[in-house]
Amino acid sequence: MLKLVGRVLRLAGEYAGKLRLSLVLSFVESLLLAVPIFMAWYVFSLVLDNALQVRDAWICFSIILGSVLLRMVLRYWFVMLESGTGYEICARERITLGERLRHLPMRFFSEGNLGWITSIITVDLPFVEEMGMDALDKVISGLAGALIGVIMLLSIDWRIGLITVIIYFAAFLTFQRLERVCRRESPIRQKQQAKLVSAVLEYVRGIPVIKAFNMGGDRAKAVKDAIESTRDHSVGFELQSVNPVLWYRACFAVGTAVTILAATLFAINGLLPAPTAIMVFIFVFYLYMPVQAFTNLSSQTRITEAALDRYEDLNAVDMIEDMGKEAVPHRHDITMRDVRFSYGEGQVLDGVSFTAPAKSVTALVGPSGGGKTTIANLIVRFWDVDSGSVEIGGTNVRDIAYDNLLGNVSMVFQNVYLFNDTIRNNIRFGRPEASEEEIIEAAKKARCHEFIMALPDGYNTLAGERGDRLSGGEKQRISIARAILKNAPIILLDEATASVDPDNEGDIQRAIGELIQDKTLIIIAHRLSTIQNAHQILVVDNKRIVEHGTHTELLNQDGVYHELWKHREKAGGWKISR
Amino acid sequence: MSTFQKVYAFAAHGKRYMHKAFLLLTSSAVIGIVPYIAVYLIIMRLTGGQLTAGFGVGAAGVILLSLLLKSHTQEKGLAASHRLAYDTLMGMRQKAADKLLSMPMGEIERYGSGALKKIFVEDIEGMELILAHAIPEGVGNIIGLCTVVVTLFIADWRLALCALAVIPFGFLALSGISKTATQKLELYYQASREMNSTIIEYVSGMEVIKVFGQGESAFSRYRKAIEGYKKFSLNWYKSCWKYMSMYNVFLPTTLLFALPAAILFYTSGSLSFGLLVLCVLLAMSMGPMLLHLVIFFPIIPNLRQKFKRIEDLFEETELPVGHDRSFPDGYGVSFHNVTFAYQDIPVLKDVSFEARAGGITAIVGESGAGKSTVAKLTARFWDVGEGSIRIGGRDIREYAFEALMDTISYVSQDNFLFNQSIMENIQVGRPGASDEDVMEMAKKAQCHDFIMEMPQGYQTVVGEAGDRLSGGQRQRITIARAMLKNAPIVLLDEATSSTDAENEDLIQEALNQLLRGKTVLVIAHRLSTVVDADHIIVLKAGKVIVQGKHPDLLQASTEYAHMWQSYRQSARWEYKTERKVAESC
Repeated sequence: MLKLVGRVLRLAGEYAGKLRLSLVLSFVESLLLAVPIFMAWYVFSLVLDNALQVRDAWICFSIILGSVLLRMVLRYWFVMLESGTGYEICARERITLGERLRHLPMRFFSEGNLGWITSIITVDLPFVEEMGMDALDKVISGLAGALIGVIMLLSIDWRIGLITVIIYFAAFLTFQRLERVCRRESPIRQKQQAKLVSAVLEYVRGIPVIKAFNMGGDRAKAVKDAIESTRDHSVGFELQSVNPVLWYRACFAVGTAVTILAATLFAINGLLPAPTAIMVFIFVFYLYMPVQAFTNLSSQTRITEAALDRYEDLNAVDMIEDMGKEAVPHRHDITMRDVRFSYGEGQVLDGVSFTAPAKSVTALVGPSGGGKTTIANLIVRFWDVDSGSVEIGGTNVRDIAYDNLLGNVSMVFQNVYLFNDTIRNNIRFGRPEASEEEIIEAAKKARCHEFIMALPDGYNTLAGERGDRLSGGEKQRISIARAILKNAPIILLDEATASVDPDNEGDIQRAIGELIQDKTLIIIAHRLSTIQNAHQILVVDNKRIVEHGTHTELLNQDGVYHELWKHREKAGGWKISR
Repeated sequence: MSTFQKVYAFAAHGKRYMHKAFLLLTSSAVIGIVPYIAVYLIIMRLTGGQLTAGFGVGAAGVILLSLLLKSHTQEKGLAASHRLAYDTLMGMRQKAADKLLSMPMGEIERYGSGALKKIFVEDIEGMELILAHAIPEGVGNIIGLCTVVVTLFIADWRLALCALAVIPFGFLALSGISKTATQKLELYYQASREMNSTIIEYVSGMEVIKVFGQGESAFSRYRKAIEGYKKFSLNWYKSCWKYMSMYNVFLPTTLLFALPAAILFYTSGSLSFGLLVLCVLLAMSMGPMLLHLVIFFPIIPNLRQKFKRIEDLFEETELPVGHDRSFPDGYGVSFHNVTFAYQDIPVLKDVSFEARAGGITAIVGESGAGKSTVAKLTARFWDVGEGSIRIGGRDIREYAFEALMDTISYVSQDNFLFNQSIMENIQVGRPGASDEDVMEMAKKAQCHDFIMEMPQGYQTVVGEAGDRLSGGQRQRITIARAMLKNAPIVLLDEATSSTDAENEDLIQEALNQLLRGKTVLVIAHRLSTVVDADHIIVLKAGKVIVQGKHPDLLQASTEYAHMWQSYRQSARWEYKTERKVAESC
């Protein structure tokens, strides 16, 4: 638990001072907690001395009230410092993280890390900020209370103080046992929870199939089994922790009883004045209270630590090396020279060379998994080549400043991302300084002006997650309008884009037609009919470019392309019939 | 409070544990006053000068025993309440699982799998706090408190009232919180939602942000959301902390009024020293219990929201089902004046047509015309608003749901597979089908070859294969599954065939195999696919504008002719980067 305090202080950085101050305040507050007990003791000693007067009532009242008010202020102050600082720290961390994310390599985002990053920022950090800080508060006030108790008892009577020290030591040992149980059980619990989540997800996602195939009984049983075993594990965990908790509590029971017994015997033997003994009797009930509550904190501190672990993992990811300083030349031809590349294991490209002349159409075709998408990814440096080079206008892409490189390329891929903002701002994203006329012009070219105007709020309609009213094809066309506005000289296009929305294929095609005017186009083609007039077709198969030429040249070669063409002919002419 | 009652009602079947928990926790609370009484007796004897070592040992023994018994009963009580809680959670989750089976599919789609998972897992888990802690500990504390208060009243009723005098302060603070809550909590939640969605957007949109070089502006939006959240959360907490520190400090300080009052009563001679000591001890013992009663207070609004979501799910209307199992007139499908609105937005208006048994009927129309809804209504994702859908001459609502599902295969773009072997996934189509049958279907559905190329063949587990299965491969497995089911009616969303542009021809071949000899209702997106259909229904804005065969429609309907024209154009389309001289047509 103390480890957690240290970690949070390290995370706090410049706020550590504030946190330390809050610890001091919390300590003082715990000290004041004993004031009413002292007053009770004071009253008892006065009674025993036959010196209690009416004005003592007012003295008592004022002192207790004073301590209560002071505690209120201290408490407010230190909670503010502690939890308030928690929010400050987490806000700062979120912002630094946001800044870092901008400098992580592109591939990092396309590799399925999105869920991981998002859950760290939106689940783990809030936990640290709320529950973690709360745990910190409880740990500190508990420890402060224990320390104060020991010091007070030692100063009243060192023997009784010693008993308390021994009890705390014994309690500390049994607490280790509880922590061991938690350490052993919590990964098991987590695994069980993960099992439940995946069983539930499979059930919920599979429900259309379950209904369609009348598998209700069977599948419901599978998910119910997972639900039941979650119950069993949870109950098991509770039962396992019962004994260690009982031992921990037993230490304090023994401590209380022994302290009372010692004080009694000392009082009988005259070793302890009666009022002091009475003071001990009352105080002993409050002595162990805050520390006993530690049993409820175990899981809270553990989850906080796990959250901090994940957060640190994310912070350990390397940022991009952006050494390039040059600008993209005015010539926009693209050349690959003997490019070799692998994603780690197994070669993906093995000696690929080609030149895509400026303002021409270059089509990449070939079976899936052949390396077409990788070629596009290497041009925009989602990845860097292992050997060989990628050049734009004769300049190696590695020497080009990354922002400048991206500024000169538009990618139209299947996964369209629109922001939770108005359609206007989503288009404007392509070129922030664009005028209203230019935005509308781009929308018209992308064949989306009409459907935008048909929306109740027109260009002010919200797109993105919250605007589910837009169809896949409509979103696609908005993203094309954005690219038209950007007007980058190089376009990388995945043709599958067009089949996102078969109902509106024609509109998407026309939008793309506008986008690619006068540009250097590299297209990952699926439907060969659309590239019959391409300036060159590169057939990518088995890590290499196996054929290249125009449509007619390739058809005459009777090779891979010829084979693909036969297949596509068949698919294109499909009719439902028997 | 009513939330507590409703949650508690779910626990009703666990009465045994409930009673046990209450009994143990109440005993624990009552036993809790024994040490105070014992100390009182020691103090009385000490001040009276009659304290013996023997009495001290005896009293310490009683204190030890009662403390041990207190923690024992408390822990056992909590174990019982957890048992009750987890049983109840299990009951709620199982009920939710059953609920999904009887809800209309359309409503389940509306929820979305993310939201349903949240209810199943997180929201229901939240009830643990109420069932295992808030209710049993609350009840235990109230009874313990009552015991002390009654004892105190018997000892000296005036002091009892004085000890309780801190409660109004505590409640003042609590009401302060709930007043603030209504004002600032909503703002806080809103800022929190805002921040979360901005973060998700920032992270998911990072590719686009970088590509358009918009890092600066996107980042400033991200920063603004985070600072907004910080501001509102601090704003809300600052006003809460005031009240929280107030009740945290006041509630346990029962001596604030009791001790001065005791002094007054003692000096005026109306209180003996013994009772003074006893009352002080009892008053002090109330403090922690009072505080414990209110610690759950701040989280109640959150739990109430969670419970509301659970309750709403349980109260969703279920799909009424009939009992008929036989189809008197075969497997023709017909729509009779069907009108349907989804969330008050009209989708289909007075739609009538007939899909002849054994024939191919195609539904065409612009996107948003209601094509998919026709298929979904036939599969009873929802029920029609007005009119009726009949299969075999009988309203589909009269059939047992299982019987209806047995007659229909709905092939959509959703290519869900279970996390089990490919073999088992295909067997879903007909439980108990032999391996040979499965392989035969897989061959027909064009998936045998790629399955055999996998190291484990048909035993490859889909989840583990993960991304190794492409969308098109998954699609073909689902087609094999449907083929094995061999239902007489097939509802086909033709977009299915383009899920994998590379292997379109294979999916098409698989579909051809599936459709053989069936009543087919196809939602068509590419007109070329359905030119040979027996019957084509043209939808526009939810209405049937014309129906017939392709050649007839070309003649009869300008709208259809126009659709055909633009389809032909897009099929002939090519990529060209040359600037056009002039816009054609």
